[in-house]
Parts: sequence; C-alpha cells; structure tokens
Amino acid sequence: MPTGLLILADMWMPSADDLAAIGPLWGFVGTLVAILVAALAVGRNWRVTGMLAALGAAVTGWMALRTVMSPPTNWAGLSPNNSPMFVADQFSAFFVLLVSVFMLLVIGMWWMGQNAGLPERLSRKGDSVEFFILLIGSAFGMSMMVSTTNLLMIVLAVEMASLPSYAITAFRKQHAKAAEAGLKYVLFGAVTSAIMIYGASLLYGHYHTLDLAEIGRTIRIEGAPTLLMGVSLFAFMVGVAFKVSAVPFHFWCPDVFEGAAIEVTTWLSVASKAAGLGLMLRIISVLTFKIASPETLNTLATAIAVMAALTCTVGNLSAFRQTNMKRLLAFSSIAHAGYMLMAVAIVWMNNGSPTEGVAHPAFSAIVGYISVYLVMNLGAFLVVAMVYWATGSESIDAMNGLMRRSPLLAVMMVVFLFSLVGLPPMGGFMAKLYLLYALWDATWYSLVIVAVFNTLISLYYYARVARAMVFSDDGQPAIRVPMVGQALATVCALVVLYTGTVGAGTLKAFSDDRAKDLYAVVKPGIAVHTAAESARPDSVNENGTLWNGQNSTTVPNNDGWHIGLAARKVDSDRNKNGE
Amino acid sequence: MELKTLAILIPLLPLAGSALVGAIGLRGLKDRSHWLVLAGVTAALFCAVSLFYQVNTELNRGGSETAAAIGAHAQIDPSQQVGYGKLAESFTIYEWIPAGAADWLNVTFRVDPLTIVMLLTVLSVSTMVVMYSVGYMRDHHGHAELGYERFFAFLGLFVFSMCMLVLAGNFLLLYLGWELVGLCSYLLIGFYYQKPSAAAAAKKAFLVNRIGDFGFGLGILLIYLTFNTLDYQEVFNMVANSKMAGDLALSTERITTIALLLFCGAMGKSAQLPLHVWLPDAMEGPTPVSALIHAATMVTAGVYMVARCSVIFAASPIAMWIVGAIGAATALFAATIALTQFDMKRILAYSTLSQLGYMFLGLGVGAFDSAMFHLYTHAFFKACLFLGAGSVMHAMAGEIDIRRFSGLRKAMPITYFTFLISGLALAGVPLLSAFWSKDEIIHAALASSTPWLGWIGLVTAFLTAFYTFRMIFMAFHNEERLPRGVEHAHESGVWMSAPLVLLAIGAVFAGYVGVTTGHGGFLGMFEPHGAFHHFLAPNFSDAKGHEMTVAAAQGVAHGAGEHGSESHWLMWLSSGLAFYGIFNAWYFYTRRPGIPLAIALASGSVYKLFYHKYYVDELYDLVFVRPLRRLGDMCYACDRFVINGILWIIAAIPRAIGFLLRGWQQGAMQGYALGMVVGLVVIMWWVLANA
Repeated sequence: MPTGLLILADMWMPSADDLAAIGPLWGFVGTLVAILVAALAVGRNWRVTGMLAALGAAVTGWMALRTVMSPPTNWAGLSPNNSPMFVADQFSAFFVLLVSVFMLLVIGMWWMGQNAGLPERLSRKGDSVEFFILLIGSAFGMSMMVSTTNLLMIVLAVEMASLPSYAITAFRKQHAKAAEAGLKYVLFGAVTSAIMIYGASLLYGHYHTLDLAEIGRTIRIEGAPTLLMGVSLFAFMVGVAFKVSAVPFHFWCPDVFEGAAIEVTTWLSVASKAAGLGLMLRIISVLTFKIASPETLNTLATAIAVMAALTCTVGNLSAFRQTNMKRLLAFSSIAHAGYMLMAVAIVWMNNGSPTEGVAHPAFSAIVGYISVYLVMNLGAFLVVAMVYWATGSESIDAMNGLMRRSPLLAVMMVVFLFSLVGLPPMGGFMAKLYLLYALWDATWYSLVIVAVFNTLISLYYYARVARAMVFSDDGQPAIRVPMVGQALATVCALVVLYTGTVGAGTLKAFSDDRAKDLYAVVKPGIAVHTAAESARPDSVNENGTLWNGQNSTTVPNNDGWHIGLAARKVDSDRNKNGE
Repeated sequence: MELKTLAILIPLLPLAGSALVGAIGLRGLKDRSHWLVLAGVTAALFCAVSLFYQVNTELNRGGSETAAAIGAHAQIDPSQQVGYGKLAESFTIYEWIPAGAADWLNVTFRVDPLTIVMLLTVLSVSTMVVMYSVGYMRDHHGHAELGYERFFAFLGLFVFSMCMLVLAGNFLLLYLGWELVGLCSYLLIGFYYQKPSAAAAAKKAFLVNRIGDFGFGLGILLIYLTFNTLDYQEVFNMVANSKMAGDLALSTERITTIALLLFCGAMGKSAQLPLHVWLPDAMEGPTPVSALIHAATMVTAGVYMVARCSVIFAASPIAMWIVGAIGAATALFAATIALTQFDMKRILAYSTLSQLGYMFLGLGVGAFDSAMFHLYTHAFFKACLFLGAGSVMHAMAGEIDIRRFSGLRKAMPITYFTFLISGLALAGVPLLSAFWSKDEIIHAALASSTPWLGWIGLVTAFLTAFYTFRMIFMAFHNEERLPRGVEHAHESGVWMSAPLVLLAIGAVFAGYVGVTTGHGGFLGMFEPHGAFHHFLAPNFSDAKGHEMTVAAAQGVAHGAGEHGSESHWLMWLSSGLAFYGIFNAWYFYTRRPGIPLAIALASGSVYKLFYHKYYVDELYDLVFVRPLRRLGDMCYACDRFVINGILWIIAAIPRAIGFLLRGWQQGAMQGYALGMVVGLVVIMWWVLANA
C-alpha cells in the first residue's frame, strides 16, 4: 500500500462522497492489486497483464472524467480550505484524467511493441508484470502530486512518481544505455529531492505547519520574511523543476529519453511534465500572498520566467544538431516545458490579486497546451516507434524516404511535427497562440519575444525531420505498419487537426472550464479570510475592487478572455517598482 | 425534424459521403464510388425540401403580419429585426474562434427564404449532375475513368462547401464557404491534371479569383471594423437602422466602400468584367463540373452574396449603379463573343457570363427578387445545356467544335430535344422559364432611373437567341456529319439521359413559381411576381423599402396586378426579339450558310475583335502577367541571394550554439552536475539578492 493512503486512512475518516471523489486513485491501486493477483492466478502472461492495465487506466480515466464533469460541490471535505492531507477536486481529477488517458495510449504503444517481434532482450515480455507495476506506480505518484497541498504529501508524491520511473528507465537491464540512463536519472533525482526537502523543512521550521494553504493564510495576514520565502520556496520548486526538466535541471532528460524503451520515453515526456505543472499550479493556488508580499512573489515569478526562457532556448538550440530521434524529441519536450513554464510565471505573477478573474488566460493556456501537447507528442513518438520497430534504428536516417516507404506515417508525422512547431492549421498553433496571447495580455513582452524566437528556431530541426522523410530517399524498404498503430496515429492526427481548425473554440472553452475549476477551489479559500483581511487598507475584495487602496477602480468580474487591462497595468507597474 | 437539425444535416450529408469516398473509395468502392455521394446529396435535397415546407408554412401563417410590416415599413420599431419576422432563424452551432473581449466568431447557420431558394437550386441541380456524372465519367464500355472516386469525392466536397456558403449566418462563414467552393472549383477544373491546358486553366481560375477574393476579404474586415460584428442580422440591422434614423455615424462613403469591396469578390466569383477571363478557360474541366460549378451554382454565389447583402448595397446608390452597369456591360460583351465561337462549351460559358450579367443588372436596379428568380431558372436550363453539350462530347469522342459535326438530331434524339427546350428557354421564348425571369429584370431596368440598362438587356436578348440557335442549328441540324474517328453517333445511357430530361422539365416549368394568373396579363393570363417573389419578400423588404432604390415603386407591395398592363408591351417585344433571333439563326445557318461568312468578311476587324474575345487575355498578359513575372523573377533572385544569405548567417548562430551545447551534453555526469550546481547557485543568488 502506498504510504500516502495509510496516512490518509489514519488521519481522516472518509465519507461516502469523499470516497467517490478519490475514486480515480482507487482505480490505480485496484489495478495494481488486480495485476498481482492475475499474475498469481494465470502466470506471467503479457497479454492478460496489458489488458488489465488498460482496463484499469480506462476505468480510472472514466471516474476522473465523471469528477471533472460534475458540478463543483462534490468534493466535500477534500477542498484545500479544510487543510486535508489529500485534495480531490476537479482540478486534480483533470490531471488524473490526462495521466490515465495518456497511460492508456502508452499501453497501446507497448502492446504494439510486444507484437513487433523484438528480441526478448529488448521487449522483455516475461517481465510485463513488473513493468506495469512500475508504470502504474508512477502514474499513481503523479496523480498524488496534483492531489495534495501538504508539504509532506507533496514530497512523498514526487518520490512516488520518481522511484518507479527510475526503475522503469533501466528496465531493459541488458541494455547498457538503459542502465546508464537509470543511474543518471536516479542521481539527479536524489539531488533535487534533497534540495526540495530542504526547502520544505525551511517552510515547516518557520510556520510549524505542513499545510501550504495554512502557510498561505498566515502570509496573507502577517506578510512574509522575504528572504526565507524566496529561498525556501525556490528550493522547494527545484524538485518540481526537475520533474518538468527545466533548465538547469534538465541534464538527465536527453540521456534518460535515449536510454529508456520508447514507450517509457513517451510516458516520461508527457505524464511527468503534466504532473509537475499541475503541482506548480496547485502550489500557486494556495499560496495567494500577492497582497502581503508582492516583491517576493515577483522575484519568484521572474525566476521562473528566466528559467522558462532558458529552458525553451536551451532545449531548442540543443535539438539543432541531434541525430537520434529520441534525443531530438527529448530536447523538444524540454523546449515545450519552457513554453508552458512561461505561462506558469504569469500565473505566479498575478497570483492572488483579485483582478486575475476566474479564468485566467495563462492558466487556461497551460491546460490547453498540455492537452494538445499530449496528443501531438504521443503521435510523434508513435511514428518514431513504428519506424524503430521496423528498422531497429532510432536515428534520423531511419526516417529517410518515409514518404515513399509509408505515406500514411509520413503524412501523420508531418502533421505532428508542424503542430509541435506551432504552424496552422494544427492544434499546436492554436495552443501556442492562446499561450502567446496570455503572455501578451500580461504585458510580459520579453517572454513573447523569446517564445516567438524559439518557435522560429524550432522550425529548423522539426523541418529537418520532414525533409529527411520527403526529400532524402535512400532506398530503404517500405514499412509495414500495424493496424493499431495506424488507427492510433490517425486519431492523434485528427485530434491535432481538429483542435487547430474546426475545434479551435472547443479547445479554448475546454481549457477555460478547467481553469475555472481551479479558481472555484481557490476563491472560497480567500473569501474565508477576507473578514480578517478587510481591516487592512489594501484588502482583497470579492466585489472586484482593486487591491491597492489608492487606486480603487471597480473592475467588473469578467468571465471571459479579457481581464481588466487597467488592473493588469497597475500590477505590472508595481512589478517594475519592485524591481 | 427541427430546423436546426435539418440545417446541420444539409451540409454534413454530402460531406460525409465525400469523406467516405475519399477514405475508402480507391480501395473499396472503385467504380461504385458514386453511390455514397449520390445518397448524401439526395438526402440533403430531401432535407432542404422539408426545410422549405416548414418555412413556407410559417410564411403563410404569418403572411398577413409580414405583409403589413412590409407595407408600413417606416413605422417598424428600430429595435426589431427588420423585415424578417419569424422567417429568419439563426443557429449558433458552436463557438469557433475567440475574438477579443469575451467575443466569439461563431459557426452560425441562418435559415431564411433566400437560403432555402439557394439550397433547393443548388441541391436539385447537384443531384442531377451527380447522376449524370455516373454515366459521363466512364468510357464507352462502361469502365470508370481514372480518378473516378476522386471526382466524386470532390463533387461531394463541393456540394458541402456550397451549402456552407448559402447557410452561413455570418460573413466569416460565408468567406469560408466562398474559399472552399473556390478550392473545389480549382480541384475540379484541374481534374485532368496531366493535361497542361487543364492545369493552366485551374491555376488561372484560382489566381483571378484571388484578386476578387482579396477585395472581398477586405470588405469583410471593413465590416468588422465598422460594425464590430460579422453576424448578418446585426450588420443589416445596423445599416437599416442608421438609414432610418438618418444616422450620420455610418457615412455613405463607408457603406459604398464596403459594398464595392464585397462586389469585388462577386466579380471574381461570378466572372464579371473585368475578372471574367477565368470562366471560359474553366471549361477544361469535366463537363458535369462545368454544368454544376461553372454554370448553375458556384458562379452564382456572387449574385447570392449581393442579394444577401441587399441592405448594404441598397444604401449606396453609387454601388448599385456600378453593379448594374457592370452587369449590363458583361451581358452585352459576353453575348457578342458568343456569336463567333465554335466550341460548344465555350459558347455556353460566354452565355453564362452574359446571363450572370443579367442577374447583376437586376441587382443593380434593385430588383433583387427578380435577379434571384433568374438565378434559379438559369440553373436548370443552363445545367441542361451543359449536360447536353457533354452528351454530345461523349458521343463525339471528346470533339466539341461545332464545325466538325452536324445533324446529330436523328442519332441523339433525347439530347437534341432537351437541348432544344433549354435553348428555347435561354433564348427567352415565351412560356419557358427564362422568359419570365429575364423580362422582369429588363422591366425593372426600364422602370429605373437608368433605363438604358434595360435597352442593353433587350439587345442582349436578341443576341442570346441568335447565338443559342446558331449553335443548335450547326450541331443538330443539316445533313449528318461526324468527326474523324467516330463511326456512328449514339444516344447516351440512362444515367445521362434521365437528368437531361428532368432538367429540361425544369427549364420549362421552373418559371411558373414566379408568375401568377390574372386577368389581362400576358396572353390574357400571366402576371409577373408570383409565389417565388412572395416567398422571398421578407428578405428584400428592407432593401426595397429604401426610397433610393429605383425598384421601390414596384417592390413595396408585391401584389399581383400592381405590375400593371403597361408592361405587357415589353413582353411582346422581347418575345418578338427572341423569335427574330431564332429566325435569323435558322436563315443564316440552314438556308443560306454563305451569309455568316460574308458578314464575317465584311465586318473584318469587328469580327476579329469578337472572335478573339476583345483581346482581353492578350491585354492582361501584356499589362499584368508579364510585368508580374518579371517582378517574380526579381523577387526570386532577391530571395535566393540576399535573403537566403542573411538567413544562413542567422541560422549559423544557433547552429554554433547548438554545437557548443551538444558538446556540453556529452553524457558525463560531472559536467551535468557542474551545470546544475552553477545554475542553481546563480538563480539562488539572484533570488536572495532580489527577495
């Protein structure tokens, strides 16, 4: 049993509603148990194990979807306002949904890999039980990362997500590169965990509580010692930055991606990033102390922004000369993490000021971006995997002449690549557009310039792959693509095309809804304390009065895409003075 | 079914057919590919008919109120929807693109009488043409041509696009449909892409349309800038209300600019002077395509658009004048060229230009409903003529020059009779469909402040009768002659004949929905402005209510008898002209075949001018194409040497950095750890310094 649940059971008596609310996590745990039992009952059969895992992922996803779609009153005692160890709301359910949908797709990929006739040394059919225990274990950890506001639980969840990932990376144990990758991963993970726990202990030492929401409330009332807040929060974020492979904690990423089996690489490239981003947003959502100490928050936001810009640029520039497709996509995933971190910086920046509105564009942009990124990245990896299974090579040369060898795969790959660049009419374009719009809207123009510049240079290496497929035919034999692979790639490509053209508004509306979910959680938390805070001159006012007393313009609480620009101006002015 | 469901189904059914054929046609269906598209289009037609009955019932129920509203136009509360009452329904299908402050550009469908008229026209002709194509796109042994499934997939896509165009409830969606039909037109003109002339024609059509569409796009942008919305109803309400209130905020210049920019698009799509050059060349496409896209439906999109925006156009007398004048000029211009051509499809193409000119003439003098009426009748007889020409072409093994064959009347009776009937309709012979619609337009023009437009229309009517029957007599009459390589002419199969017959029936009777019976009318029976005009009345009441439009006098009340007996002389005159034209053609081409040659020789340069289509292509080549080519060469050189060089330098920087970074990422743990620690220390230091 995962430790998190034991503590949960000890500290908190669940009601029926609460049990239903944490349903998704029971889904993962139940799948683990089912796989173990099945292994005892029918022996080590990779098909049975795979089926069970897929079923578990589907059920978990379905339960998460139910929570996502339910009205926001369902989570009873599990709202962060009640300082529980474990939070179950629509926001966490959304990330659980992402993780489980992605797991389902990765299982499909794994299945094809098993059928591709690889040697046992590489496919390790016999160890499928262990493989899925590890995979689901990390999925469970990722789900926990977005489901808590307790420092201890966060640390545990990050470890829960990381430890199985280390093992799964080194899973092909006769493969030297895999072993090397696993070792590197574990070393970096250990160091960053140490820093993270150091940050957490500083926070605990000062506030005598593990609950981040409680810390946030205290800061809102008393203000914060800036130095301590800066150091401890940043150190705490290092652990998360490691998970999303932000510069300078990204070094593990290319080597791990190259060494791990391709389905594992795919898994790590999206799921761990999604969970990391979710955790960052979760932390921000409870530490709403903009009013109390804006300088600290601005410094942290700027640090994140600088990290984001570096992540983006280093990722893209490093990808320039890669010849291994998995390494190339690894750097690409670093770059995409950078784009999303930019929006995270914006969310930090405006955090806790009442002008941010219920659906902050930056927040919504992250949700939209990660959703589209999930699909397009999976698609790209899928094509690379299918080429790898057919040719045994992950080099970019293996893609040569793909347009002739398998027109379908080549066309799909072009769709995914162009979507990754952010060209219309692909979903990646729309996602990036919303993201850039959010940056623009926050008047953080330097980030916009960095993002656009990065998009430009990223075109080069993505287009290089396309060029190899179309123009550099060196006469390699045609590729036979499995039906499942065709279907999966086609679905991904259709989703990418849909979100880029007809479904552009659907994507936006979807992300806006998810963004509202989080703020539905956060806002009551502020409201509880407004009474205490209203004694202060610059108070939060739910009616939308500006936070600084001198400039009390009333801003209509706008649900839409535009949030009072005037208010934002004040924020940024304050920001400049702060610097 | 509900209106909304039907409105969604109508474009989706052909699209589904098309997509399925595209997905499985080549492997699974091959020469049975037509079934899916035919089913989709036919089902869509049934949906459109059902839509028509629902709206018509609504119209009859609310008829009296509507009529009252039209009559007492000035008293309508400005906040109300102008003129439409319950007849127009807009459905927002979903929110498409976010546009600024909590505002969306939506996918909106609009169902009103105008939409329904267009839908019925488009879908019925489409059904006929799809049926016809089943027979046409095969060789004489009944084997499907290469690309059979591609053809039907494109055809289905076209029907979808055209439905989107007419169902659109805002300008954005209209533009989308507009570009989609342009794309389909391009794909289908270039269907035989191995043939250089077809590829060139496709390219020409696309490029010329680009010019018009550029203006159209600007017009839509200007609408958005002016009204801050693209929704039809909102825009039209604003135009109409500002007009009624005498609002000066919306200046006449602005409205005129918008109208003219929109008309730019119409000129491109409907091939009006001076952007007409692409349409005759577009005949390189398969004949069913010429019939459907380049005669009956797509090219009338411009007319539809102007009629749709009648409120905007009616608010600008200058724009109206220009529309009318360009229409009249095109009508006459194209008719004179048609006199001298020998390629059956080209003659018909110029005739299409000329008839489109009539429609714009009608729009220009404010007779929006008459223009729509002509659009509707024209679709049937012109599609029938084109399909007949296709039938001849099929029998003559691809030969279409009327000098190479004659006397086909005996060998191809069905083709001949249907062609003859449609030809009579086109010539404006009384009691056939075009007679009613064309006369209305000419009448409206004569009654307007610019009667000379009407006289041009009358001259053109004579020319029309002449060139139509010149073609008929040369191809079908006299002794039987066949081109080399064709042993015997034969009638086409049932797939091709059935649509011909159905369309010919349409060519005869389609006009009767637009006339009423009354005492003392034409032949003592028929009065213009019948059910068709009554049905469309809500759409145009607003534009027509405006005193600036000349047709206001006749448009305010659409009751029978209003038209008055004073117009009957015109009907007699125009039928006289039609018969005179036919007689001349008969006399010149069967009795005294020497006369045409003599006239051609005698008129010398004028004949050459007509024959060479006024040298417009040559002129454009000299004035636009060659200088643009030269500019293109210059740009290419600039791109190649200057921009590429700069780009190389720019790319070299990241490449160099990439090289360095790659050196760093060698795989050695020590290097990584160092990087991480340095990075952490730097950021930590920065945070400490700033916090």
